[in-house]
Amino acid sequence: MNVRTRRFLNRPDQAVREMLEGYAAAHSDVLRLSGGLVVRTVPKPRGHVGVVIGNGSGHEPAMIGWVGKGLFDVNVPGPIFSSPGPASILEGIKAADRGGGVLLLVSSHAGDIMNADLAIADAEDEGIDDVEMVVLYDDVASAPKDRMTERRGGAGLFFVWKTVGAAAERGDSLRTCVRIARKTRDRVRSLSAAVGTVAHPVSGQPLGDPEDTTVAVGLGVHGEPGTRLGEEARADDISALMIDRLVDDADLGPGDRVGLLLNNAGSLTLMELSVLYRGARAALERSGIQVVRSWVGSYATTLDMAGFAFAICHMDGELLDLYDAPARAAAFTMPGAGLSG
Amino acid sequence: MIDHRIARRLVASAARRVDHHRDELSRLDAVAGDGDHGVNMATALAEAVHRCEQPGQDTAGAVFRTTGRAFHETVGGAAGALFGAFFGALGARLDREEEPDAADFVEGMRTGLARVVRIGRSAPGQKTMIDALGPATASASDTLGSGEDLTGVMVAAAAAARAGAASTAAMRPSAGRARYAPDASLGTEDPGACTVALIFEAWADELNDEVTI
Repeated sequence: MNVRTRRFLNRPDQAVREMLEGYAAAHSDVLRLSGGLVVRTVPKPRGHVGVVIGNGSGHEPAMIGWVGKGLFDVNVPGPIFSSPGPASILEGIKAADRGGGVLLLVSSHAGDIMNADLAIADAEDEGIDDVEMVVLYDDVASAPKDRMTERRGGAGLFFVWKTVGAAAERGDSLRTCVRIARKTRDRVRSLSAAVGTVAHPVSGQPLGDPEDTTVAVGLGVHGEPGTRLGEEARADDISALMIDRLVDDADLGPGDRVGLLLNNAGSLTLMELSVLYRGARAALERSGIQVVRSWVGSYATTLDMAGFAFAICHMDGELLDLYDAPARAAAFTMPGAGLSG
Repeated sequence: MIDHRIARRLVASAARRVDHHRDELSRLDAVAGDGDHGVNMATALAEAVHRCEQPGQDTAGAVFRTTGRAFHETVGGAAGALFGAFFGALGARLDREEEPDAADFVEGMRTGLARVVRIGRSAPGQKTMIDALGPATASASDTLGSGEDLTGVMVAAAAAARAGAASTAAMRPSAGRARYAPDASLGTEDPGACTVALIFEAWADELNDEVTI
């Protein structure tokens, strides 16, 4: 299989910086660059909890496109597929501080956790002590259910970003925001699938085996390998297999309500996404589960990976209210939010 | 005594060595990671060399602390956090002495190793840089005890680090990103452990060239 190595870039080692400059120029109504940070054009009111996340680049629009009203106050973009270092994260914590405490969210990957730990220690050394860190995970392929905390973060965490962002925006306390983050995390599951791989823009190295053309289920957001399916696997089979595994892992049954997210990992067509989504709805209906909210689109990508992830969030009244709350960022809008920030 | 001139030469030699093996390290990383380890390590070390040439870097401790910060501020990721922590701890230990010697350097390696273990929440045998840094530190300590100078200590540390890195090929990863595909990297050495081996080999060669401490 052909792995695309020719990209529309200038110098690959400057790609992240040039991307941020271009993205900020295109979306100056909601975000701006402050040093290496992406921050809101209009900060939230004083006394509210600031929400910040650091992440490797290459997953756009995650998370630069999620800085805005009802979502993140600050995003700390790192190098491609690498967490930012502790110095940048500490800057992000300071930039997010509106006097109501800061919630540092971490998608569970080794480097992200280590650098966040180092940043929190540095913050304490500087006398900043109202910072809470919540580590988030949702990928059922990454560890068995009895070792849930070893799981890694995946596309399902968009439910967390949405609910906790809404809680912070309406003025909930740091303690409440932490509770919402954990509650949403514990009700979210995700699983991904892809064909082939992508090339790292700087090193040019393909992630994994470029000759492999089988469908792999359960791979990670940086191309970590998954389980191979046979040549005969069709979209409906793949959707059903993945949804059934998520439903089983989350212990969902007839009458339960879920939000369903279908994330494009990069280069799938809307045709494929819609066919996959159709299959997922059918699989959930067979289990008697009601889909009350849906997202289909590119939320967390792996460059131009030909893959996707399904995620479900077991909804209740509290989470639905937060999910439906207005939000406005470059890559995501929940209607109802004013356009003035 | 280990002064800033020697420390700068050590950092520069590590930067040259890792840069020379950059693509090979990235290829190792692509087996179960994201294929950028060599680029990241070479980038951080090049930045460290640049920063260590600036005014004010006038002790060995300052040079290694600056090197640690270069990792933390330029590359990020797990490797950035861990290598940065190692160099930072080594530098802080050297800075406790007016005239640090080989024993202080080995003590700094021990502090650095302990910090890597703590921050990485990992142990020997999990197919990480610890599998090279652990043996290197133990061997450095033994060699120092038998009366060798820093050159002899580094030669022993380099050999132990290389053997440690080689031993990771037979390991299944149980820490870091590679743990999600434990079979994918079977037969391949851990890139972080290889970087540790390259750094100590560069140091041994640099010191063997002419410096006697």
